[in-house]
Amino acid sequence: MTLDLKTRLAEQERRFKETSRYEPDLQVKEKDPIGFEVLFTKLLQAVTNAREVALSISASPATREQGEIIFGLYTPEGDSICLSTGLMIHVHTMSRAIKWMIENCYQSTIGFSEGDYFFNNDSFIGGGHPSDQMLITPFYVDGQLEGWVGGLTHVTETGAVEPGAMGSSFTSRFAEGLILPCIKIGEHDELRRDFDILVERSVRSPIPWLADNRAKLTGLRMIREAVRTLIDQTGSEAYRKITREYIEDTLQATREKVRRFLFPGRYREVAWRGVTLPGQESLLQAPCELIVGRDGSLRIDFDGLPSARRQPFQGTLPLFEGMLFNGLIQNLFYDLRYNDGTFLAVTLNVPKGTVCNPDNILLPTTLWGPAYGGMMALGQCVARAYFAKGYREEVHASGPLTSGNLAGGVDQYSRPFGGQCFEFASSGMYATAFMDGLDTAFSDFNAEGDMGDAEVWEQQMPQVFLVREIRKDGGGFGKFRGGHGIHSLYMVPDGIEMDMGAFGSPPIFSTAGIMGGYPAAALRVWAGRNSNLAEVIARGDPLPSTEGPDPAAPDFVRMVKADWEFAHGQNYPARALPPGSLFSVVSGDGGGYGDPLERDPALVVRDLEDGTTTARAAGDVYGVVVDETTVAADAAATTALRALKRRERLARGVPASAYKRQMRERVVAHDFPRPAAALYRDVLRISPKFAREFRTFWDLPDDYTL
Amino acid sequence: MDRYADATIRDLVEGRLPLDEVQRLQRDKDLDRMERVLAIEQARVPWSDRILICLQEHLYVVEKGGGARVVKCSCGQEFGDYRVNWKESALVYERPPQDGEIFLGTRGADPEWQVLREFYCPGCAVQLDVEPVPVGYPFIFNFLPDLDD
Amino acid sequence: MARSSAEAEARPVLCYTDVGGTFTDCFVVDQNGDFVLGKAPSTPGAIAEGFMASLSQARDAAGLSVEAFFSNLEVVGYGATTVLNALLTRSGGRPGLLITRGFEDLLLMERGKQSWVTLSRVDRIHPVTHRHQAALIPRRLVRGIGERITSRGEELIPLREAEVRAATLELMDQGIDSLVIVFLWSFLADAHERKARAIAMAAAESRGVSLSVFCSSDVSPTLRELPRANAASVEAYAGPSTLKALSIVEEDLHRDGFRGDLQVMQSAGGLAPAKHVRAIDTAMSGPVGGLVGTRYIGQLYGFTNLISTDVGGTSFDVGLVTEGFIGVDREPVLAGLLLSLPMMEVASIGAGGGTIARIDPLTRRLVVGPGSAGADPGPVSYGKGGTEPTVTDADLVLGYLNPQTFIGGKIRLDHGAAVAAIRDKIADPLGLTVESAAAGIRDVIDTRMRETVVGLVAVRGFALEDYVLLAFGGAGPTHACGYTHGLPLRGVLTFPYAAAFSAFGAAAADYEHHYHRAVNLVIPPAASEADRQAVAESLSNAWVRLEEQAIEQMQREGVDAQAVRLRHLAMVRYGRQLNDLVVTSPVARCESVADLQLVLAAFEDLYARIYAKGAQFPQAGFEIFEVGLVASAFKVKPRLEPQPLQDPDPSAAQIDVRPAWFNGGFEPARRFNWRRLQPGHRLVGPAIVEDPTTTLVLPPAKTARVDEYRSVWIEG
Repeated sequence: MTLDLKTRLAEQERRFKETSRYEPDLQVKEKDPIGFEVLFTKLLQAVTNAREVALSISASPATREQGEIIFGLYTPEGDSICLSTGLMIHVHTMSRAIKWMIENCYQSTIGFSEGDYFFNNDSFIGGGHPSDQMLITPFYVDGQLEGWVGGLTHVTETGAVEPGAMGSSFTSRFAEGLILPCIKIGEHDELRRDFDILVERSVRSPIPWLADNRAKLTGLRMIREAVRTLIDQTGSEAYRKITREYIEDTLQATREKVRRFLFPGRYREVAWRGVTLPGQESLLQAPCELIVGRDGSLRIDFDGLPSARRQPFQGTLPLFEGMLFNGLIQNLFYDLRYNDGTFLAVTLNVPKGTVCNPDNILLPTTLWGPAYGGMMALGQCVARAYFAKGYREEVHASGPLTSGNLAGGVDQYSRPFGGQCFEFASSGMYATAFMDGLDTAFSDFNAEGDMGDAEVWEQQMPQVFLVREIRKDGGGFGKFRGGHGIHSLYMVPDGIEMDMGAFGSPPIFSTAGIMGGYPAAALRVWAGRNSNLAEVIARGDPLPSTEGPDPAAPDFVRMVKADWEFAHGQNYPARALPPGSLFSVVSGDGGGYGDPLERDPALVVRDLEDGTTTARAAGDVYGVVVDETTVAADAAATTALRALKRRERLARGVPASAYKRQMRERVVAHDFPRPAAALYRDVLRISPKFAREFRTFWDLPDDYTL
Repeated sequence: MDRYADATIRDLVEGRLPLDEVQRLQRDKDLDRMERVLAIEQARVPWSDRILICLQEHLYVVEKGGGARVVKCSCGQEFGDYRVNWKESALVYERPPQDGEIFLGTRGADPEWQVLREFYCPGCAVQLDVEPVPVGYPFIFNFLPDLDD
Repeated sequence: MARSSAEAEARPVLCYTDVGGTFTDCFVVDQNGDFVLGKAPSTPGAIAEGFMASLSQARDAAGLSVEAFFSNLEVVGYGATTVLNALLTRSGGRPGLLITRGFEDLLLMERGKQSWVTLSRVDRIHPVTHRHQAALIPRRLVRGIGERITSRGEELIPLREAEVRAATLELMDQGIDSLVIVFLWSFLADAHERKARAIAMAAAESRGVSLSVFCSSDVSPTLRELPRANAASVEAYAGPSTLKALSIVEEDLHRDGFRGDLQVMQSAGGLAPAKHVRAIDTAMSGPVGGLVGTRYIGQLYGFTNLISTDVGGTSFDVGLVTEGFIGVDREPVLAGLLLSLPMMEVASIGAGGGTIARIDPLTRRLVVGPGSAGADPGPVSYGKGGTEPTVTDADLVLGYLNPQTFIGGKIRLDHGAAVAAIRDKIADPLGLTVESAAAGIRDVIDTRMRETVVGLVAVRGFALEDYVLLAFGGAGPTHACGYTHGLPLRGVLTFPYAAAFSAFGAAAADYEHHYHRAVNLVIPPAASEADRQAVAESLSNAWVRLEEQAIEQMQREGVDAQAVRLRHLAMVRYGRQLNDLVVTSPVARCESVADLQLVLAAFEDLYARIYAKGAQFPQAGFEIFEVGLVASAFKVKPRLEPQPLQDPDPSAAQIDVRPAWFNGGFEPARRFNWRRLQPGHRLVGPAIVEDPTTTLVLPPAKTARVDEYRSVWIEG
């Protein structure tokens, strides 16, 4: 190597700043467009093969059933050239880790050589949270470092304070379990036994973690050898040039795509998250401003984020970048090559010290909160930009706040276990401008979402599903409704000792609708201890088969006596549930699109027949009158009811100016509910931009604070 | 690629294009879409001001006789200069999030945390936007198009 | 074999008919191994019509009377996409569903995976393209039943029998024509499903109706409730009509003097009598023929590792035969539905003669496929209205295809139109000549095909060096040299009858049934001798149960128990893994711990070979959740007779010398008539070999050799 990596990396970043190009020309592509395509096909096949093999070795349901895994090929400086499908969040997070090792002088201190394997699950360096575990290896040709190969899987047990790695009670890094920042765990293509021992003695069920390491090792070797063979054919010089062109080519295609398909202008959306911990309740906002330039540039600004704090609903900058690019790929760049060219095409501002860019590594970053919401807000901005250009087939509302449950204890085979039922990877999809969101089929964090079969989960974990259903009316109401998520009611069988918990949000709407559509329903948990389920079963009394229409008294609460506990918003730190206990969680639902009074009555009838909407909503929300006997919509009565509902709107709506006058008095008097007051106090202090706009909007003096 | 039929684009705009047809558009995009959608929308509205851009469902930026550019609803209601948030000229209703008409009990947010701010067109009463926000949050200015040539 | 004329004294022994969406193809072999083909339009409404029409075509070709034809036939095989079409068009019966209470929404929810599993890589990452499959059984025809079995196969909630009776009557009031029962974990303990079936049938009889009831534990006794429910629903939805159609075909055959049973091709390979098959097992017979034929060719030549590559008009299908066994996919997808039934494993990509080439307007990338112009309108050169340049157009422009004799001259290819389309849509935008653009299209499509072959072998940890590749399908010989170029294969083989290879292969199938059963055998690392002994015995007992099932069925189908060949399978995984490997057991019984160790050792060897030593993980213990058995018996096959090798000079078969494009320029290429090539002939590229049904392209530096079976080996 002529220059050391650190210098090369700095040099490259300087060059990009000056020229805003990754590679000065596309000579190879222009001279031989066919060969350019053919080589990429081969690289793509290499990473895709590796993923398929790794999937079959994995022992974690999240990996095997939900496909929570991705492989990538990187330049010596750590830029991604080519990725498999899977967790697109990590298009960039593995780049981050490689660059971090380079910048932290690993080359001269720890040293890199063929057959080394570096493990990282420190999300301040790369990856999303301690569950995101990457394995990275450098590869050499004729003694020259030609690049890196990386693999990442989501492992659902990290030895955290709560089982299942994603606890909602964490207030520091130390609660998150075993975190290893770019540690060399393998040499000469062998994983170190002492690392296995460390894991075996640090987490509840080490097998998924250790098996996934082997899966990644196998995949990385496959890619490395395949690429080495290609380099033997092309020669190192040509390989380096062409791989840099793949990134530059993507960078240019990215700008071109924006120019053609998005209308230039300024777009704004806000996503809501928050935390409810003993002694700490905060409402957190993710205010997204997207500026689409006529030149095809994208500027994304998150000025206005609240300050980072001792709670788990926040994400590191690498994670946040990953989320945003995952969103951009799904919404906009799905048909380009997936590599860092996309990342380079965007300018991003995420103020330091905020919940999406904490600068104190002792803070927990387990559950992402606004970092996840920010992606949805960006998605809605992009949707509006498509709408203005006429591409309605790409327009959608916000995706679900995918939320799930955690469990740990001793399983039915008397083995210690800890993990998550990852079914929330298949939540309710956003409504679109052309169809209802799919029920139980989608998650923003992994486009290939799946919930897995209940029998597979019951084989992996001791809890038993009593109910697994579509959450009626969960999706946001609208002309097209949001997709409904999953409602699962679990039972703890006899002889099983376990804790269960759930993570979600405070009691808020966390998934917005768009263009007149409503947000998705709020999440919640029901936990029932000391239940009489055994007697209900023995006596042959009716068994619950659904949540039912009344959120205050769900069927299972009415049918099974227990000490029922309710958590509005679904943050429920894991705690012991004795045998016979019941535990009910929902997975998240999609936002609605358009005015519900414009919904096609036929769709409402279909939902009534499928039992996915209630008669109440059909009338109150959609203004559809259904004939009980024929189960068809009564056209005349429906028109009349909808007209009435429109008149009611005109009657109760007040002119914005009047509304603002009244509200201003409350603002001036600091008359806010506590969560709002805390949010404004914090953001007015740290964000001059937000402060300026808040004061201007309410016509307040420049020194207005809380 | 072949140009999509006008009927196809119209059905898309009206939200009733068959889903496999939608997939074709999602896979293979025509590049003159905006002009065609504008023509279709222009034909659908009962007024004749020239539509410059579709802001969102029911709302357009139109050019008035004097060259003024204002936000206008499909029903004809006008919301003023497009550079000002149209919400400032809408009807507003702050809905209690658990009022039982839309969200039943805890299906809605805790009113301490959020309210539902609904925006209606004063002309036709269509619901144009719903903001789930904490009390006292400024109106969100969703879209300021870059129209200046 | 290449002589497709039938001699007068020829006695037809074997007939295989493939009922496709548009055409019904029939392949008849006589005792000399000569074959004749029949082709007639399919008649979806009444399959028998098209079926018999295609047979009589073949009969005419063989110049035989109805009597002579049918009385001589020993076997009539049948392959159809009937079930598939019923599913794709949602034109089936009206079953109801009884399911474990709390899971009533299962078919509406399906699995997230079903909303994207049939989509391309790009669409999968583009969620607004995802769509649910329409449920085979609407929600209003579903009832929840109180009952529950646990993951250990123990009863948690007793079956609530009254609910079963009430639900059945309710659903009958709604006009169901059959009933599906899906209870969780029924594959471990099927008592509840069986009891429920008895109650439901009794309830129906009380109304004088005999209701057919399908239990998931019968149709597909394996883990995963959705695939199990899908399988049972498909059987109820499409089964009755399919089996009815089969019986009509069989009646017609008997009426014309055929004495045997109609034999149906099953998705897992192998034929079985129509009166005994389950519709779901016949759903994917399409690619099976090619794989069975590949295995048969392997037996003939003594190869146990083969790759089958079938290049049709729209798709490229690759399958593997490894150590004599055809690869089986245990989680196949049928019309978008996840199943857990063994079906032959075929990797398929959108790449064939009709595959469309275009330039992505955004990136100026040349994109070939997956879209296809199909047969209608087809390639531009067909002159049937196609406007997008295809692979066939490229082959024509490069001088490989003969516009006069393509498909036996049935279609006159329009060279000028192909040139114009490639020039305007590909060459000019890329700034290339028409020929280099056409060569580029071939290069890209051949690379995608090559990478699919490499991937299929690589992800199973096998080595190309051990495999012989067979190239067939109409466009197989045309692209074989391209997609095998540079692969370290043991050999590349193609055939004058490449276009009819699948039918030939299907005719070569044995009688065969696949059985599988879920078990629950966990061997923790610290398992005691006694525990291991217990596992060994349960494993053995599971095999015994399957053997009884197999022998009983094969005998019912008229196979002598002595003639049945058995292969014992164990699906083994390391502790807590979610994917297992199918291990062919070295022992047919597991009496001792030592026997069990042999099975586990076989697993560890296979595992290490596929995933590399470093991935082995014995410290996690072992688990076996499924066992299997393959039972087969010999059936008469098309015979391939070796013929004496002759002088290597093929000049006698040469038609002329014409220019064809190779390595950046046109060169004179010798053009041969495939029908006139004789065993022993050797060809040196550049050369083109024409048959009415296909064209072999031999670039410079490649040579070909016609062997004693008239098969063609591509070398160099």
